[in-house]
Amino acid sequence: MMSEAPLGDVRSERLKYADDLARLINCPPSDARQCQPSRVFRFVHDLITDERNFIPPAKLNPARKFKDDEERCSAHALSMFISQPQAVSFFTGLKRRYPNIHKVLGANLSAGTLADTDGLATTPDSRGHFDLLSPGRLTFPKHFVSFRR
Amino acid sequence: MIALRGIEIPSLPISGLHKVRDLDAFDGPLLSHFRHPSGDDYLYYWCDCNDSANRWMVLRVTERNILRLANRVVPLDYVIPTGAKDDFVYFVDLDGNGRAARVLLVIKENVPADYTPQGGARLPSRVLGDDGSYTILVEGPLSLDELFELPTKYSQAYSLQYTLATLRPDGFEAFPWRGGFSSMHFYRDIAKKLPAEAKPALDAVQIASPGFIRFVMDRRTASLVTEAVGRFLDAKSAANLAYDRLRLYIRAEKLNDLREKNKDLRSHEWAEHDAKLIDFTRSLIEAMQVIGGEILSSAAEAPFESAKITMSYAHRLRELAHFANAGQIIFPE
Repeated sequence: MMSEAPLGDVRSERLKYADDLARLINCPPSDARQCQPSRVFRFVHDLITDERNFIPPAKLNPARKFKDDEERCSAHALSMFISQPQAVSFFTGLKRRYPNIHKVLGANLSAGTLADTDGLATTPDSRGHFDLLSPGRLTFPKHFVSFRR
Repeated sequence: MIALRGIEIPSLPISGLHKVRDLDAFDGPLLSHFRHPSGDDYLYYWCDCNDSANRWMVLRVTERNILRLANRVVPLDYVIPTGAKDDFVYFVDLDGNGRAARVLLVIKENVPADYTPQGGARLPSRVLGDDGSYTILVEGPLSLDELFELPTKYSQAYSLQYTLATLRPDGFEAFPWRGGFSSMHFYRDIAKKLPAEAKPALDAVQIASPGFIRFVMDRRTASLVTEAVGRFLDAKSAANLAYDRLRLYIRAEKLNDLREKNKDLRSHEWAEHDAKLIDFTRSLIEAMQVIGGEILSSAAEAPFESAKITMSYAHRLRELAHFANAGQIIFPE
């Protein structure tokens, strides 16, 4: 998923919300690496073109308060999963705890292929989740396709 | 959002809440622990949203129930909303500016099923505090003696583990290592040498069952101790077997008596036991997977001292494991 190589063009490229990120400590996070071409998954609303689908939480809900810059930085990224089973399992658990969570995240899973120029990705956690900070030029849904409800 | 059956009130009648921590989050908090200056604990549970607001259920709960949630001892629906201390909960619709656009007081029985966690759903992982505290959950009755013994043993095990992993001394004070007296002095001695910020202190005890015992201590070390306790939970574990082997050797060879008669642990009389003591002690250290365990050998005056110190640590871990096996306590990790 992630390249071990030193960050190249993407790190120097202007990321979305770059002015916000610049005010935060360790943002992008030091573990973020340039994406490698890979298929990734993200929860989306019914229409793939729904503008909420690819807006990070900090921008969807600007009134939100964060514990620290790490959280603040993460809230400027898009949550992705590295595999479909992990995304489905995660959503199932979340839905059991918060039955209306689909109203925030959407009830569908989409898949897309990231190119190495598509931004910086954090190291996936044990649930397969990672944050994507994308460059300003990138417009979503790009090639993301909603395929599972 | 669902129309709620409740009483609309002008504002949330609780002020001065400060956030303790988020217990669950994804792209933002979903369940958060707040505390009132009076010490009352509240949960904010995310329920619903529309284009203009997010709806949260706000409920007053006991601290022990928050700890049980955080440690996955109970499912969410055990507390939300049934475990609320009051007969009612609040619903707060927070608008895009974080202001309470609407507040309702709703009797617990009238909370819609759609606004409560599904039965049996637990937090995805244990939520550890990052405030330098460490809490042991009390889930079964503890006698007064046990209530004294438990924190004492835990603090002693913690002090030795901190010493081994962090302070890494060149030598330990020599003690006769017979009976509880010398171990008491040993642990008092190492506790005295801990830096002030790492000294374990009892922060709060709630002796009801369920209750909790909260320490202020170095979290990392506390976690190491808890992991080590876990290695003694199974009576046939490698750690227990290694402990028994060393204990039986010392007993069979009457080494405690020999220590009384011959205090020179470098003498010829001791030499014939050294190889076995070194071997058995090393096995026990390895089975316990003690971080800094090599210091138990290098810092002791002689193999017998090393064996006794190692056994004293194992003994404390075994006692703590006994509390856990008896269902009296649950360690958070």
